[in-house]
This record gives sequence, structure tokens and C-alpha cells, in this order.
Amino acid sequence: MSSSSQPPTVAFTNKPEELFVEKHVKYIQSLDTRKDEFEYWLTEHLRLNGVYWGLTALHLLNHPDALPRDETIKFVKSCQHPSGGFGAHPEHDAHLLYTLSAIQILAIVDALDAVDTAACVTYVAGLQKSSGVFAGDEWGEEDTRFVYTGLQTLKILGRLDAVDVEKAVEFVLGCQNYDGGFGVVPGAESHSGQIFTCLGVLSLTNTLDRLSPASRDQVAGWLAQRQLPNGGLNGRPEKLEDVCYSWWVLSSLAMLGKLHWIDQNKLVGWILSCQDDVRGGFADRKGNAVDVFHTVFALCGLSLVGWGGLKEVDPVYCMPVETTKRLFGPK
Amino acid sequence: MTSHGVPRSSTVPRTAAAIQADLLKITAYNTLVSEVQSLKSTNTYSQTSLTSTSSLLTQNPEFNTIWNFRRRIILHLLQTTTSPSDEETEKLSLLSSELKFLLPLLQSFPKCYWIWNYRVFILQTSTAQLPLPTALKLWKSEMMLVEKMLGRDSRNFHGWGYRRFIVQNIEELQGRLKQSQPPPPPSSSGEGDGKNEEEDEDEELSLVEQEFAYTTAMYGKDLSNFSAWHNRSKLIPRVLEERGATVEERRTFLDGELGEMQTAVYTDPYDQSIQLYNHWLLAESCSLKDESVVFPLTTSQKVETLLRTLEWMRELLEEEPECRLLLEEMIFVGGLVRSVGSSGDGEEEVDLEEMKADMQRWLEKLMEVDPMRMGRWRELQQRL
Repeated sequence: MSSSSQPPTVAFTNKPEELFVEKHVKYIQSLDTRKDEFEYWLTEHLRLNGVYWGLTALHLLNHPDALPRDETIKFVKSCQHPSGGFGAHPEHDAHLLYTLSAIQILAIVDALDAVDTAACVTYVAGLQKSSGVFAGDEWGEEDTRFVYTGLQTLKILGRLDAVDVEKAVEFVLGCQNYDGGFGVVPGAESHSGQIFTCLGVLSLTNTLDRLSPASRDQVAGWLAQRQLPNGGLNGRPEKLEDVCYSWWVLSSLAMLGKLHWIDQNKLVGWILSCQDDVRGGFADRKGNAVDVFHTVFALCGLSLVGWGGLKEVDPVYCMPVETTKRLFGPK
Repeated sequence: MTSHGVPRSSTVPRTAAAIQADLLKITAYNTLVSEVQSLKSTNTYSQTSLTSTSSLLTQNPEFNTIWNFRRRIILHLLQTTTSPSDEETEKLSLLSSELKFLLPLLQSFPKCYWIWNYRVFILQTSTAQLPLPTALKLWKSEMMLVEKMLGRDSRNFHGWGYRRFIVQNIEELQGRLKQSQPPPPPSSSGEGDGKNEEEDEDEELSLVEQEFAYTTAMYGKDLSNFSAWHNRSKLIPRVLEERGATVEERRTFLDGELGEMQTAVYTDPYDQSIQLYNHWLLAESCSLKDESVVFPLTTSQKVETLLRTLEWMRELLEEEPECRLLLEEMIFVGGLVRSVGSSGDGEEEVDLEEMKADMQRWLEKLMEVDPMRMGRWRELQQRL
């Protein structure tokens, strides 16, 4: 399941110095100092996710201390509600999307005891529905994304026993389509992002073998078709390439042990072309505005294929392998 | 923070005037945020609060906490209608104005999850709070919105998901409505008339034919619309069941679809959408497994269908010898021929060894024209 089980070494054309490590570190550090930009205020609803994306990126870049640890923990604590769930920022409502980020941040900096984890387990478990799916929050949107976020949160907290894992797995399996891919709910079109969350659920519950070998090959084949002639990956047939699919597609291929089904060398070249060589950060495509979301997923992609001396990322959890090893032991 | 398709701005620092303008914008925005947050923290569920959230959400529809506050305001206002005699009208007017408020936002931010979620909440609230026929009308008028959204972007993920969701709800509400109505008195008029009426009603309960026709219309406009093909594949089992299709009719239907695919693949052999749908048709009907419920074929019919498909694919390959999608599909079809042909219960004259040699040849060509996926083709070669 880890990338080490892949056929070895790809002959990469790009040299490690083509990754602007220092610029990316500076870019991520600058994110919380941009209070004179309107965009900063408009994106408050992503603040906690942003910290997780930035922190993960910095760990992969081997600059784990580039964000102040105490302040990070303090901020995460300030986002927890009495219900146990987390909002994106103080005064923002709780949602699974933020709750997972909060727990991931604390797991990465090894400070899970800083918050009320028992309440968090109660919050997450309360969102599972009788069909096995999870709602994102009290208002009830159901989506395979939330099965993943809910289960990963509980897995990190060592409390998968708090929910009906078998039902969750069955729900996810019910979202598989004839092309091998998965959708947001049963009947919905296959999408790389959803394939990541569904394979993630099966991986973290050790149920990937519930998919037949033929079915695993089929979804891997579909994922391999996402690579376009320029090396980039798209999310669905006949759509444009985007750096974030360097994570959704690639991590899925890694979980299936099929990273070598695409041209990893070409992908690296394409990902690198999306860097802002002046101010750091990665954009969705060459020449576009950068953001921390695309930055972390670009680095995760590079890490998964083992390029550039980056720290290894775990394809199931999207956290440094150092963290998942500490949490779950070596694979 | 998750920008897509935004061009990188110049590297020239902002001018002092530009920074000043941004600061003014920030101050005004933050004042509004504090105002709404303070109304929220004091549980002020008033018309004024509703107006404040409108201003804020129009500026920033991604602010999901404010959508949640708005939900609470609406639930409160629905409970406190002013004139008990006209409660229904008031509720309908409030919920309708919510739906109207969302329209321009959806047009400007068609991929914002929170707006779609809020719209679903309003519709579900109308089901819970309005008489069934009134709520049903609201749900039905959503179809116009979906048409518009998918007209603008025929692949919009939210649009297609929303369409399936709306259809499902309309069908359910129509079913409930029918159940709640007393059965019609035994017809004393002409027998024929009574029967027709009943049929019309039954027809209205299911939207599957209408939805199936919609996928036809959508791929008619653009063959490359995988969202339409996907939906079609999901609808077909129900279409055939509701038509009460016989085994023979199912086979005719399959032949019709496969014929369409032949034309479509000839039109654009490089399009994955068409190939994926064609792949589904063949996998569903011609796999070596228990007879498909959707397309029941005998073993010899399977072999015949597969060989017929390979025949036109071979012809097309002569015109497009480097088409990787075609080569991949031919290897897949060849594999089906070999597994079905060797199952032993057919007396077909297929030379399985020759088929294997063809597949090896196609695979070699595929490795040549599609080196990006070499790892995959090597594994396939080992298995062959």
C-alpha cells in the first residue's frame, strides 16, 4: 500500500533544485500576515484547513518548525465547540471538514491531548446516519467525503469502534460505478476526488480487498486515463488538468499500488511548471494565481512519486508518514 | 484560498492607493461580519437579521456559518407568521423569496456547495411546512433552474447531482400525493376513458422516460458529455423495467444503443466519454457471468455481438491506426470474446488462439502509441 511497494526508481529529468523550497516556505509563512488583502478576510471559512495544508506542506519540505507550534495549538483549541466539533475559526460553526483538519494538525504536531478528544468522538459519531453515510454537520448534507473525514478523525483518535464501520464501508461500496470509480452518493458520476475519499475509507478500515482485483484494476485504469499528453492529471474524462489532482488521482493510484501506471516523470515536470518562481507557491495550472491548497497537493504529488528529496507523504491520510507511523506504527 | 483558473497577477507591488482602497473594502466587510455575528450570538432571528445575512452572503457565499444562521432565521420566521388565517400564503412567500434570492448567487458561483445545500434545505423545509401540492409545485419548478444551469455548463457536477435529487423528490412527493387522495369512484362513463385516465396518472408518477429523453437530448448536443452517458447508464435498467420490456425488446434496445455507439465512436474515436459508455454496454451484456437482467443474451448472442463490434472496430483501426482508446477497447472486447468463447456452452466458430494473437498485436501497438501508461500495458502483456 505504501509507495515503497512500487516498482523502483523512475529516471526523473527534473533536478531537485528546480523546486523552490525556500520560496515555498516563505510563501506559506506569509499567509497569516496578509491582513491588508481582502482575500484574507473572504477566506476565513478555510482558516483551519489552511493551517493544515500549510503545516503539511512545510513538513514535506522538511521545515516542520516554520510555523510557531504553540500558536498553532492555541488556534486549533480556540476553534473547538462545546459539541466537540471544530469550526474553521472561532465564531464559525462546526463541520466535519474542519474537525478532521483540526485533528490532523494536532496529530502532526503531536498535541492531541490539547483538546477534548472525547467530545470530538461524540460529535463525529453523532453524524453517522442509518445508511452508514456521515452528514457533514447538523444540517445533514450527505457525501462520501464525510464518510472519509469522519472515519479518519476517529481512526486518528483510536475510536473507530464508536461508529458502525461495516455500514460505512457498505455505503461506500454502493457508490461504485461501472467505470470502477466512485461518486458522492449512490448513482452519482465518478470523480477523482470521490475515488480518493472512497479508497481512503476502504484503506483506513483495511477493507480494500472488498473490491475484486478486476475492479481495482478497472478503477486504476480509469485513474491512469486522467493523465493528459502534457503530463498533468484531470479529475474526470474530457476535463482540464489541475494540480490538485496530483493528489486525488495519485494517492488513489498509490493506494492501489499502481503509481507506475502513469508517466511519473512527465507529471513531475508538469507540477513544477505550476510554481510561482518569484513569490513561491503552486497554482492550479501554469501562470495562474497560487494558493496554499494547490501548494500542498502539488508537494504531496511530488512526494508520492519520490521526487525532490521531500519527506514521504501517506497516501491514505495525507499527512507525513512520520506522523502516521507514530500514530499507527509501521505498515 | 482554493482558486481555480485565476490568472497570476503582476509581480509589481500594489500602489499605496490600491492598498488604501483594499483597506476600505476590508473595513466595510469586517463591520458587516461583526454586525451579523453579533445578531447570531444573541439569537436574533428577525427580518433585519435576514437582510444583513443577504448582504454578507452576496459578498461571500462561501461563509457557511452565515448560511446556517440564515436557516435558523427562516425556521423562526416560519413559526411566527403574523396572520394565522393566511399562514400558508405567508410561508410560501417567505420560502419562494429565499429560492429567488439564491438564483443570481448560483449563476455567479455555480460550484459553491453551500448555496446548493441551502437551496435543498429550503425545498425540504417547504415539504415539511407546506401542503403537499404547494410544495410539489416548488420542487417541479426547480427543473427549470437545472435546465438553465446545465445549459450553461453541461458537465456541472452539482447540476447533474441536483437534477437527480430533484427528480427523486418529485417522484416521491407525487407518490405520496396519489396515496393521500381517495381512489376515484368506479367509472360509470365509457370504459375506455376511465382506463386512459388511470394510465396518464401512472405515467406521471415516474419521470424515468423524461430523464432518459433528457440524456438523449444532451448527448445529441455534444457527444463528449460523459455526465449524460453516465446518467443514461443508470436510467436504463429502470426504463426497461417500467416499459415491461420482454427479452426480445431488451435485445433490440441494446442493438440500438450499440449502433449509436458505432456511429459515435466513428465520429470521434478519441473521446473517452463515448468509449466508456460503449464499454459499459458490452461489459453489462456480454460478460461471462450469470445472464444480465438488463440485457439477457445467450452465449452465442454474446459472441455474435462481440464479433460484430470488433468488425467495425477493425475497420476503424485501419483509418485510425494510432488511436490508443480504440486499441484499448479492442483488447477489452477481444478478452470478452476469449472468456465467453471458451466457456464451452456455445458451439461458436471462434479461433481463440487467433484472437489472442490479434490482442497481442494491438497491445504492442498500444505500447508504442501510449508510452505514458507503459506500466499498465506491461502488466497486461504479462497476463496475456
